[in-house]
Amino acid sequence: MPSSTDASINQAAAQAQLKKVKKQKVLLMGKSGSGKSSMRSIIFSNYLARDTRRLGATIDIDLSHVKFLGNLTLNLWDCGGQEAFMENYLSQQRAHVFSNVGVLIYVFDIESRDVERDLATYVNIISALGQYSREAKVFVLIHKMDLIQSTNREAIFNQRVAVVRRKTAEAVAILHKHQPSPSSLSESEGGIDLDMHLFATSIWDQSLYKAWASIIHDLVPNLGVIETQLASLGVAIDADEILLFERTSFLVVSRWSSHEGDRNPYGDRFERMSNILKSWKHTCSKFTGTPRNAEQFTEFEYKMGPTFSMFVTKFTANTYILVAMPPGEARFNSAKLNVAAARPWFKFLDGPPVSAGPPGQIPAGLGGYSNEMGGMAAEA
Amino acid sequence: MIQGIFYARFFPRQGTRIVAQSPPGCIVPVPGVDKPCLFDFGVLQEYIIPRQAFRNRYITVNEPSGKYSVLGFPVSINDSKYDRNEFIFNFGLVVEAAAVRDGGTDGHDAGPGGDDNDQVPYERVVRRLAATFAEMEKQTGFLSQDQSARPVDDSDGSGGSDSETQSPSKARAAAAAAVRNDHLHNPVGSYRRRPIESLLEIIKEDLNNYGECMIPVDDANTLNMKLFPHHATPPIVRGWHVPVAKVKFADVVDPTWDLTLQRVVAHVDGVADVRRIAQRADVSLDLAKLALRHLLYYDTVLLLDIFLFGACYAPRPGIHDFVANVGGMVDECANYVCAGGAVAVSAKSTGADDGGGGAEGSSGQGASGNGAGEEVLMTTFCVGKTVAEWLKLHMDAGLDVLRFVDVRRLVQFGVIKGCLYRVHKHVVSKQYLAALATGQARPVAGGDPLQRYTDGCHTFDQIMTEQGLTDAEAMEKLKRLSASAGDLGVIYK
Amino acid sequence: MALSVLPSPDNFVGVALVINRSRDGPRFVFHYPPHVAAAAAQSLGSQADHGDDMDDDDDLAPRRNSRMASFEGSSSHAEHGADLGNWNHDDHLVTDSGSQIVPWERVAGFPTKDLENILTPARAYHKRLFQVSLDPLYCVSYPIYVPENGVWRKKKREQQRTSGVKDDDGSAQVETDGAAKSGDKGASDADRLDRRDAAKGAEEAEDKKSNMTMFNLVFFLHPNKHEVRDLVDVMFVHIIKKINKAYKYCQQRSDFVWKESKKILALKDKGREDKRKMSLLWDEILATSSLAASMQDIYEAVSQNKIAALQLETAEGMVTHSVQIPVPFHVSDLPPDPEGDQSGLWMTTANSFIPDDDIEEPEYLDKNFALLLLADEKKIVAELQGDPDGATVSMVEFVRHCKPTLSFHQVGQQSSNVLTPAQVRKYAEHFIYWRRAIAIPPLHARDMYIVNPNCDMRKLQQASARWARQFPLLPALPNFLAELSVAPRPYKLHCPSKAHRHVYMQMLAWLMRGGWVTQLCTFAYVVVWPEIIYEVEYALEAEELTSAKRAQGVAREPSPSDTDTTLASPGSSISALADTATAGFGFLSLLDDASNMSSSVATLRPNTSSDRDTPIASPLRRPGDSLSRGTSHDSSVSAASLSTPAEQAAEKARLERIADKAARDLAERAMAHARKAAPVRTAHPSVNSARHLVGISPRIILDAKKATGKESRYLSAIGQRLRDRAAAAPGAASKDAWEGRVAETWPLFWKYFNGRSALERIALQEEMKRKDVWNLLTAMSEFFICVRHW
Repeated sequence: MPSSTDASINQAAAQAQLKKVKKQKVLLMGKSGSGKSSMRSIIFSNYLARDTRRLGATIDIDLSHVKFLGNLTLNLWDCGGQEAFMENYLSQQRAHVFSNVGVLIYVFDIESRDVERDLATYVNIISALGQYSREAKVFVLIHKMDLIQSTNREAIFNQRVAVVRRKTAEAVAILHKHQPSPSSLSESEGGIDLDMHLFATSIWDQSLYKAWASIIHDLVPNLGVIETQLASLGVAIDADEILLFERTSFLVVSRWSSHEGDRNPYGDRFERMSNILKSWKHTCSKFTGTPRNAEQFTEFEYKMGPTFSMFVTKFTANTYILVAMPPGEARFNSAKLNVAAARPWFKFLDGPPVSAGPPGQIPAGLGGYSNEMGGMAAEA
Repeated sequence: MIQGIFYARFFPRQGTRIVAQSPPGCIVPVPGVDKPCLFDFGVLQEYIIPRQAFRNRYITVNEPSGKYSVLGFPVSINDSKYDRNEFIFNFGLVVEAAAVRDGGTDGHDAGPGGDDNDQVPYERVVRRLAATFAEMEKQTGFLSQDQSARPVDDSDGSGGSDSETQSPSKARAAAAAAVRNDHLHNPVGSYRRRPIESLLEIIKEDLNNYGECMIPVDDANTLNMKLFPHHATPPIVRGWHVPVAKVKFADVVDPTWDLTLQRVVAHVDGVADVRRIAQRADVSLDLAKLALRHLLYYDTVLLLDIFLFGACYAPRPGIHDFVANVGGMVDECANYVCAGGAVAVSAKSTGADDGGGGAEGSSGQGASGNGAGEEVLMTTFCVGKTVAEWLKLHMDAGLDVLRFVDVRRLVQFGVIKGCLYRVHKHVVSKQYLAALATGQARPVAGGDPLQRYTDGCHTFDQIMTEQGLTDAEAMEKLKRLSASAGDLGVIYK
Repeated sequence: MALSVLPSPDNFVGVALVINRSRDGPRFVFHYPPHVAAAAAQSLGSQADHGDDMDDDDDLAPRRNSRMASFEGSSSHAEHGADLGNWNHDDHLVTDSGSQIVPWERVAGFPTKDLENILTPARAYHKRLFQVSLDPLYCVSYPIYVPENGVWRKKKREQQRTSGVKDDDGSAQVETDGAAKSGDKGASDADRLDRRDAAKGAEEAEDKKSNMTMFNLVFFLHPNKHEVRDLVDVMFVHIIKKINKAYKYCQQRSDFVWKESKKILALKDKGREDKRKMSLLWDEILATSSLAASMQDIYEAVSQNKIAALQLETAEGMVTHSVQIPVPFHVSDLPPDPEGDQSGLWMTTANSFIPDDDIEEPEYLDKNFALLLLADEKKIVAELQGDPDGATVSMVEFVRHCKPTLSFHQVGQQSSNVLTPAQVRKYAEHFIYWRRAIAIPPLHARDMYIVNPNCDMRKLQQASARWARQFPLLPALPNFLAELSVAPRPYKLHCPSKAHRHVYMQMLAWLMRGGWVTQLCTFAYVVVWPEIIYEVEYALEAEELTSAKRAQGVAREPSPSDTDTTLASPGSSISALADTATAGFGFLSLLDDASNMSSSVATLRPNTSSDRDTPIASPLRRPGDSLSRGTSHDSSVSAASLSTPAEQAAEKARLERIADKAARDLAERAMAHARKAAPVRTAHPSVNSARHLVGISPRIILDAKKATGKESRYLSAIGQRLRDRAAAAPGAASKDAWEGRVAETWPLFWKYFNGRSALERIALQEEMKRKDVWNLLTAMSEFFICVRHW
């Protein structure tokens, strides 16, 4: 079985270059009332969209240290957007706030009356960021899109994107002029053009999950390892698609699709799944009366008769895994068994690796199951 | 002194801002005022409108230079009717900080309350402002409806969203106008509401000048505030204490006083002990004690011990001030103690005290008593000498003390002025002590009522008043109480 | 130096370390004790503060009993109330919302998450007093910020790096020399460093980035309302500042505070995950982190007002530092509150009555004080040898020689001058400061000791037990105290036999240590009896007359040279009048120029000379011009300007008129004086009740040493009396000699008659025999009154 063997190889290779715990400073900024805290509490503390109405304004900076998977800690700086605070960040606390930033998430309120003003603040923030942390990634979220009727969302969004990009460019240019950066690092990095991504988001649909998934996607350490191992797992149990979710936020950490899977027309199915599962959790907690943050379910099976079957199951301590595959009892069962067997591979997701256990062994075990499976097939 | 007073508010758009301040520019600069602010608002704003956990409580913080303290009570009213579900404000005061005396290991002699700039009285004011305005806001939206309420430093019509749109200049003008015609404290009602800026100014002025204020806020509400000095906790009043009035109660007492208090006060004569006062006034002992403690708190009485000729008094270092007649103490004493026609004493003493002449010409008449008047009388008290013995000493020396002075008053004067102290009599039983140490005996283990007094912590005065015995009787009983002869000891201290 | 307020577990409730970092922001690192009770908002209303039921009307409705750390923020306060009710504050709870309540994440009733924010003030507070109060709880501190260049380290890298490289946990190494590099680059600004490091491996950047921007050791106080200032003062000056400085030192040397914080935070995170019991976790932290341990020591010691000894295990080895609030070991007078902190303190005026001018000259102290060790000598010696240094040997020497009966001066001599007075002084101060000893007037069997009126009878139980163990076979403590207190007598009289003398002195020392007894001292003032007063005044008057006569004699033929003086007299009278008022000689109503001139003579004369008929002329001139420079001046001017003979005649006439008047007055006064009864000297002025003395009352000289003018005359008059006695003494040469001695000691002793210096100590000061001094004093006792206290 070639799959498993080369799996074991790249796995071994992968395990070798595992990284230890990683901490990331994430600035969450934007004008007051643009919905920063709301999205944060939906993603990370299981708020329902409607709950967020109850939130008060954020005073100054609300810091939270979110453990994501075992080995990533997000130091989430939710910065109150009131002018008074903004001024403060840009003056008094400038160095404190803007140094060592890993990611800046800037939120625009699509229906803000005073766009010019918003952009002005944004530019200031960008230049401060450029001054203290050049390597920082920037994600701009055009938020509250639900308030625009779906027909012209696209258009409005694009037009916003254009403006923001232009402004950013300007800011960077200014930064260049004002900072001929003596230590000449900029040259080495070939000038500063912040790598930024823009998303249209709303707390009322899956768009939020899409944005955040891509935000954390780059932050997750050992991504390479995860992907290769997911791939080998997928091949081994010949699934169509595998999604790996983080436990509380249900953001998609990583995914793998077979060729079959790639032909799936629904591009937004991943964040949809996040959204669905999240609300499923809420429904559970509502009816079981268990805490919102508790694990609501360990396994979730869905068999669409002849079309396909899938299951979501608790994977490692910090992750859930979703496997979609062609229908068939035997395949389904063995897949579940194999997923279970594969858990040890992904232990490193739960924290800094002790010392990656002897490779080869695991795929062997896996091979075992597939043989069996083959055997069963023969019998049939 | 209130250096500044302000009204800060949290605006959903602009954030923490000063809405009103007095004097203008004391917290945040305003056009036209070039006086520097008292402190950097940017540094302190997180304490003026703090995060949730610290709201609805009294918060003070000293600004970096250590010159001022900011006293505030940030209030947040949660209600979905507000933008962002809460209305947050703070009425604060700026007063001089109690500067830390740095460096010196000593120099801490300044007893408690030795503060000229005591902040305690202002806590009330701040709490009252918070409570009043919180209530008014809850009832009528007094603050949130205030059209003029907008950041003073809000230059352009920025973030001027929703209810907060109106030109600041106009608002300020209104405020100013109000201030002007408020100087003559006309009870308003004439105009429906008073701009907060002017309110603040009046509050500051009145509290600084009169220590109290009574300001109609609108036709319904009035702010009544007064600065009450804060005193240290007065000592416990004991049954065997003898209260002495420091003021003429007859003059100050009025029918509005607490009835018990009135009855107790009537029997404070400088001789009767608390227990007796309670009996005479026919109030429970505890109530009497409470009443007296109240008087103590306001420093209108002081507590002495029971005066007995059998008791023993001895000098304290304070006696030197007496000899030196600091603040004319000797003369004061003379006037206080002179019995019958002994004006002589006073004259004599004036002659005697002055370290170098003075009114000596005026001296002359008066008993040719030897010794230098009160000084000798005072200085001759000594440990281990009862008043009776002391008296005898002088009588034998040919000075007919009783003719000139009221000995009780002399002694009490000495005690009050810190020249003398009462040497108390304590009784100790070795056995009982040992028993206590080993934890065997429990005080009043059904045993003799007197036993519990024999641990050395109780004075004879206590035994006598509580048991209603004379000194001799008490001693007798105690002797009988103890088993072995040498067991009982009497310690004078 | 009595402190008005001292820390106690009631008003000092806890200590916490908060740090701030540019990447993960403020962190609440550690606090001690584990459970800092929530200061009930109005707790001051209780016994603690009388009449303080403030704002019963002003109380705001929503006093939430729980504010959870969790970014549900305001939304979810209510929901926890229930389970918090019966919470042991040791286990972890899970709220309905599923969020975990961690026992150590609430301090003094506040979420640490919120505390860490307000307790990391702006840089403006760097090395200043930071004080914020939340209802009755005061958070006081002395924040320390990283230097503007973002680098903690002081220079002197090399040895630094080597020390850092010993690799405890993988990252620490990286961190050390990462930081070391930054150190080399002295004033290179922080973020450039960051970038350079970022260039080399993420690992290093990781730790480099985590640079701590400030740390703040916060003290939670809960003072009574009227004591806020005093408590904050005491704590800030003696404890808070000093400890934070110590931490700063270690942080600069070896990044101590951050490394420890990192360690502690890691432990807490872990504990949070495996829901560790707080008690267990705290034990572990205290065991593993010397920083945490030091916080424990600080709290335990300071809240008991003991000496806190910090031991910080930095990368560069142990750093030790001790802090304390110096406590007074004595009070000079009875404290107002008999149950207060000061109750039980030994009482003496020995220290407070040190005359100011003597304070500088150390001999005074050396002779008047002895060192009384508070602990067993062996124990202290052991302590000293515990961590030896240069001084150890001589200090041990010192301890060996110190006896409560020997003044420092004597100790110096006894130690056959191994110890210089300076050393003795220094060591004594050292032991006293660190509470190993107290300074007392040397104990002496002849002195009187009474039960300390301030002694704490509540301690009698334990004390008598200890006493019994220490001195079996001797009178029990209560009895002994009783015996001492009945009536004051010299201590030796309590001692049954010479054989017992030694042990009895030990008992006395024991009692002194415990503040059970204090010395009863005698203070004296000179009394001037009427006879003396009269005599002096009489003499003065006589002098005035004679001097005035001479003045006139001169005035008869005025020569330009001494117009000054002549003109002076009338001129002076005015100013002199004022002068008499100020100089305050109220004997006769002095309305005559001459008289008050000579009275001013008295003022100007040195107060020592005892002979009574002094040459007047010379001093006469002095007051003349000193008093009336003004007049004399313009008179001379006038003399110059007088031109015409007529004017000169007029002037002359005027002068004569004045002279005549003066003459007449003088004559009258001479008559009056002559009529007065001449002073008669009796053997015992105190009982002289001659007619002419009636109405003159004795008077007291407050400080014979500072006596001037008339007072000094009195003193010398008394001296004269004593001399007379010597002369008058019938035959017996010895007695004569004795009286003579008394007479000449008088001027020597009178400086002690100021009501401030205890007569018992004269012997020490003058290095005379105690008995001798006592006899001399008795001999002159007629001329002073005594008062006795501690």
